[in-house]
Amino acid sequence: MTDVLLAPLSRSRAEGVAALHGAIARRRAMVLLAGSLGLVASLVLDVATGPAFLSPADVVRSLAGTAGERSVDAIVWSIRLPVAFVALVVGAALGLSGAIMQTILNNPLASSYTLGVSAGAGFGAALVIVIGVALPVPEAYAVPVMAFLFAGLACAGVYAIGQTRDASPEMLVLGGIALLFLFQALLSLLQFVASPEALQQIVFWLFGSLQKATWGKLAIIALVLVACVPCLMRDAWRLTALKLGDERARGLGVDVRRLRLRCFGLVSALTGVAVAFVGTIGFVGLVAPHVARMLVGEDQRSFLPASALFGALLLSLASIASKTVLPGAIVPIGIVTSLVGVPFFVWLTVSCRRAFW
Amino acid sequence: MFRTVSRLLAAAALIACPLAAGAAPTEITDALGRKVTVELPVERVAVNFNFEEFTAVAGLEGWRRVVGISRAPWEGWRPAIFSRYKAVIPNLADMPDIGHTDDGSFSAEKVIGLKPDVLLMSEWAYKALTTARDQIEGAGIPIVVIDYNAQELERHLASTRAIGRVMGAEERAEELAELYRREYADVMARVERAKGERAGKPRPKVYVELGQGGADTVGNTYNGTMWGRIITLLGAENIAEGRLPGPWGQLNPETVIAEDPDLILIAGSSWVNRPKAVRTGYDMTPDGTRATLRPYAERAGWSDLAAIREGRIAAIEHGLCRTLYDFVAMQFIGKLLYPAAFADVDPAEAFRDYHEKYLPIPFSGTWMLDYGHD
Amino acid sequence: MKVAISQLAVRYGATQVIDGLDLSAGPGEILAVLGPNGSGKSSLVKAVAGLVPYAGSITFDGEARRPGRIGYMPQDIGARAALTVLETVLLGRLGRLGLRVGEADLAAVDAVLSELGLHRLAARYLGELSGGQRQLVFLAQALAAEPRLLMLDEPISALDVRHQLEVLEIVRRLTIARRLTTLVVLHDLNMAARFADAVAVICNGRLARFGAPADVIDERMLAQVFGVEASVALAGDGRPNVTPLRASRR
Repeated sequence: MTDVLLAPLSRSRAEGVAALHGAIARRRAMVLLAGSLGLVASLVLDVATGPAFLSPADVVRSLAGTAGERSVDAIVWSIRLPVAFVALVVGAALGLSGAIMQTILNNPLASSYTLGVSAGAGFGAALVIVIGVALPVPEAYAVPVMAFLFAGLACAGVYAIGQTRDASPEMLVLGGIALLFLFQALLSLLQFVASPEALQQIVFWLFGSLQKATWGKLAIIALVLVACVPCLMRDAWRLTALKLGDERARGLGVDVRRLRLRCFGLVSALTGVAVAFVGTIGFVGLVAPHVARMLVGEDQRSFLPASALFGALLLSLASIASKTVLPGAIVPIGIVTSLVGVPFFVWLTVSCRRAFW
Repeated sequence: MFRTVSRLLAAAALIACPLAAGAAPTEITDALGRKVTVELPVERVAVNFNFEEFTAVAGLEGWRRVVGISRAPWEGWRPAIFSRYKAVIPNLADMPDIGHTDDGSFSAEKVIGLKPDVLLMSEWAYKALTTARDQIEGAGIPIVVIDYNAQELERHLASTRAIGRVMGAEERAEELAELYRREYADVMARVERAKGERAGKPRPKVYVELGQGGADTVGNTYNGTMWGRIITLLGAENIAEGRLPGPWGQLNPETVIAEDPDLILIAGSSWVNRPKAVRTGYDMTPDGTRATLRPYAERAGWSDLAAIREGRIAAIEHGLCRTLYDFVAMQFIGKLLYPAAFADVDPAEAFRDYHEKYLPIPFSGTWMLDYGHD
Repeated sequence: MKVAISQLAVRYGATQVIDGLDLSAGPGEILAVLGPNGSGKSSLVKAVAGLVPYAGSITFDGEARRPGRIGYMPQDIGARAALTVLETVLLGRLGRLGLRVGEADLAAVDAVLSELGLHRLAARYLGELSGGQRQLVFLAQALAAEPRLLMLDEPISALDVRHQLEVLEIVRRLTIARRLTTLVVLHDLNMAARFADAVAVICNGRLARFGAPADVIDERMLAQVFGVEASVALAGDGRPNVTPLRASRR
């Protein structure tokens, strides 16, 4: 799979490695740029679609701030814009956490969804809704905070189970699957005792929904995302080294255990904050890193940002799909991502078996 | 709090303004005691639940002003009833759907896009949809909450009056509120009398079950809510009380046999795709309802129950519960529990009467059936 | 640099893997570490690289502090990653890499790729390379940090004879040119005999023999340590040549 573009460069010794490196970096930057442009386009479409069938002219007028109907402004500014932006930041958070999990667990099927972290967060949320667990936080935030805490608990659980065998990737993955089953069972138990009013809220957590997005929630998710990124990028080279295997990484001077711990912390934060506000959305964390890997390779300096970017793009496109598939209604977004994600994922594994694992 | 104050100030300012022609912002107290400012008269209204109550108060004229409803809890849950209303309400067939809380399809955007002057919302939807209700109110659409689900007299009356104020049908609302209050008080008085006559004897035991799945499936029973609450209100003992982890669920069949209830109630309706359900409603004859109830009367394991041997099993329409006409259901169950005290009460007649006075569709069919005696 | 190992002991759980080992190696020389399977060869190298806890002392030019620039090449466990040769070699400089790759780093990589003749493979992914080429890439990675101490754990076990010779010749050339101290764990006695300046034979966690190849690799050692009857002859350059005959009856 040598780049046709790069072959002449690599043959010529005189050009040197610097030129090759520059060319690779430029190519990756192009991919990220193209992705960003796609993201902007998707964002625009997302704001333009919805069950109220506003005309594009109305939407543009409202965005420009020119005097329009109050109802149009209310729809565009307090519903569609927060939803569109939350789709971006949640998609980025999920894509990023999926990328980290796949790297530190050395497993292409790892993601917060498949390893029970999202299920843990959903259970935490359900606990508040059904039992009304009292927390010293304002009621509106009790649910997200519990979701976040339980995401952390699930991550700690995965890690603790892995501790027994020196945190090898296989053990961690098995631990994650065990936790997934555990939290799903606990959630079913809660549903059994829940009142119907509580039940309908729990359903929201199971299917995921962007429709409860507000500017305040957007700020919190964005804040967590922005705080996590520098911490993560500092470890970018160490994570790349980890791709060569624990042995080699240790040989290169990486404290593998500490790195995994740090990364688990980041994953809990990112997953917790995402699930806390939009419920359980699957497959974004699984598919986005694969797309990123296909396009920019595994150098984590570009792989991680690309995973975030494609996660955001994926969720934004899913948001549009959830609004246009059944005109006038909104299909829960978790269903859209699953229905699209599964065949896409199968296609990915079948067509790109060769180079990547 | 701040919002209410600012609304009051805005209302006061507008009232003082001589340019305010026609539309007058009025403060309405809804079923939850919230003070909501609505511009009266209302030209466009969206309704989330309690459609028969809305119809009784606002009439066909009121429906002309409706711009959107939550279709699922009416068209989906009570399709036979919905189709009858569809026949007399011209815009109902194509009425835009604002979505439903249970499946997460409620759309604030849809509501705002329909530009109603007010949204009538049920209490449970209001509690569940925190973000959506903020968005709707933020767009300047007031929300008036009505609540017949609490099964409390005061809430029933307040809800009815609130609908009346919103739709400009205060007289009719007051008439209905008075009717309900009177009938409710009457039922309670008879229950007291019956209790007095029974002094010393234990309370009658009742088992109620939702007859949706057929006699070979154990249907839900209720604990402190819905039929359970009515049973307790009428001074009887609901054998499921305190025995379920939540407000409803399946009671162990052995418990039913061990308790040997004095009365068995099976809730039926006009569900579609439920071939074994107990059927009640507009289209049922008494024999038809009886035929669907028979499998319960002949249920395996029940043959030795006193209630079965003596024919003290009855069918009742599930949709009567938690409505403005639930007094009819209370009368029927009261009659089964205390025949002497309720001797001169005819629940079916009361229901027919209600239809003739307040509903645009004619009364027909079987809504309550006493298996042993009807 | 001079590496001096004294009374080294390494323990994994309840198993004593190395038990009281003394050894030394100097700059510009290749020390081959030989021994039967499970004798503790890898553990020795890991201890020197600072990857496992140990008792005893290991000094580097007389100091206990381990130098920053150590090139360590573990046994190839076939880990595949979608990394290019360039990125893999760049990782050798992990300690000093920032988010932007500096010119010094690229220059070092350039130099080591030239040294090993890997330039034309720079843009290829690891998964596309042959086993021999991959080993060279990891060797380049170990060298990219411009280390003074180089440790190679069975670098040629999975290679064909041509690549075995290539790799070891490069190692010898660089050891001399850059005055590296090189420890190489080998299974192949003849290769060890040919390329090493000193040979250490480890048996059951202890040092069985230490010295020049001709002194260490003889028929008695093969019988005692490896349990093999062999015929050892001296080649023209004075280095021993082993011909295994049969496994000894125990």
